[in-house]
Amino acid sequence: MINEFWFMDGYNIYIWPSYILTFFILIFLTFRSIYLSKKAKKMLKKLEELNS
Amino acid sequence: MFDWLANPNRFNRITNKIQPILLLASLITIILGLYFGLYDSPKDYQQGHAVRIMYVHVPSAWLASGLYLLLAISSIFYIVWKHPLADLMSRSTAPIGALFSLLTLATGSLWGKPMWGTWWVWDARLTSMLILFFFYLGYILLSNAFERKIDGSKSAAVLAIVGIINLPIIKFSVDWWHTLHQPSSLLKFDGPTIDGQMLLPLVLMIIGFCSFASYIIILNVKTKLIEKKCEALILKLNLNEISNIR
Amino acid sequence: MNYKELNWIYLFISHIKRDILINSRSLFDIVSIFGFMLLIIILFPMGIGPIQEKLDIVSNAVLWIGLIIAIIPSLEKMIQRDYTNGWLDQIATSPIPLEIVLLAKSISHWIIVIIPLIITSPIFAILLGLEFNQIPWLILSMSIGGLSICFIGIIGAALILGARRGNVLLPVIILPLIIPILIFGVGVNESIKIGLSPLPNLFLLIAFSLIYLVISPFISAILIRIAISR
Repeated sequence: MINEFWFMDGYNIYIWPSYILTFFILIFLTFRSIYLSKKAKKMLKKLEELNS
Repeated sequence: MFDWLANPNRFNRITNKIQPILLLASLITIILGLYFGLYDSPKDYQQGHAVRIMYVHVPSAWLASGLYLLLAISSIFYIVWKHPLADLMSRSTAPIGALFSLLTLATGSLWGKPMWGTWWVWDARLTSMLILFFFYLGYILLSNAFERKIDGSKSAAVLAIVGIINLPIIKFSVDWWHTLHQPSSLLKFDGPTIDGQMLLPLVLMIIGFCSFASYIIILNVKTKLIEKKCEALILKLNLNEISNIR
Repeated sequence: MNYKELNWIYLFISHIKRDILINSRSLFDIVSIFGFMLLIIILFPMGIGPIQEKLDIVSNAVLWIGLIIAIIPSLEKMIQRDYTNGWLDQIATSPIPLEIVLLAKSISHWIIVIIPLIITSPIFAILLGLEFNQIPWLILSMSIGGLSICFIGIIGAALILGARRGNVLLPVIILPLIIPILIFGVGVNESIKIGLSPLPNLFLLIAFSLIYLVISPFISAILIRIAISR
């Protein structure tokens, strides 16, 4: 059973890279968006302090 | 018209409520979709296990096309009603649409190799997706090619609108082009009918991808709104300094 | 006949004459257009080999691709010169309709760039081994397709107006718009080769020209007004 899941009748070299690539893009987008958001918020806080 | 949509504060208030729902929905549906797609669904009669690539390929394709629609609509809002929020939305969707069209091409390639024997095939849908990728690329390049951001926004918005006039033309001509040069053996990509057990993971993944993309786009728009505030504050700081020097 | 209408036609024709006069002064432009076309026409057989069967398969496409690649570098010049010397500024702020001027620009560009290529296309066609009965259809399809390319080109030139290194972006932006023209333009000759009627493809080419004839003056005028108001 586990073997069939892993090997997928020989299609595994196509199926798993597809899913890994998908994951990579999803995770990359998530982390990058959160990172840019935090960077912008930090800069905003710094600027507001400077301004007041 | 639609001015109430353009208010950034209202946008922030509404999206603050929606964002956690979107993130949760996307997580749940994608995880469930993965379970059903990879584990609990049957293999195809003709394609074997390779049909499982469809569960990431089709949602990516839907997303790439759907995001272009979003890009064009917000470009129309920007050119006609001049909502600055619409421009931020266009600029946020473009890179994500480009990434997902690339993902569609890559997963399509990986699906095509076991099915048709080659990594790339000039299938009507893959070719249309390739052209769509170049649409996105052109938009991103054009919007960043100008000295002032606002010039780039306006020019790229018109490009997006011209693109949407063209989209049906291109779909039609690529379909025609493909059927004209069709090899003798006609290969159907996703089988005559989709089995009910295959429909469930597909729908789950489509919902998951769409809600994920919505979450990311909303997050990026908010980030751009904050960056705009930062720019305004920087300007104010510089003006204060200049007036202090005087 | 309404006096105002007569004025517009006179304006249209005089602008075409003006553009042709200005652009035909520089021999360099014409040479570069033929240069690119010859490059494609000669390099392809050099790369593929002299076997006529192999060349027959691609010859129609090579001719069309040569046409497109030869035109693209010249598209930017449609508007750039008149933008930098302020002529477009004058037109946009005058009661003269900018759309008519832009339409005249596209047509004059067609006359300057496409007509020489079409007149010399029989030579290129013979180089690639096209049959004689295909050459009239080639000329017809290239004339009509070339018109669409000029209309699309002026929209592209207006999009990159004022951009840094805009002429590098132009091919990427134009690409999705040009592809249908290429598909149906080649389709005209390919259908003759097979023995079918070329008329469906030809009618589609005509349809595209009409669509772009209508939308390109208005869209480029909007873009130019945006560019001028900076």
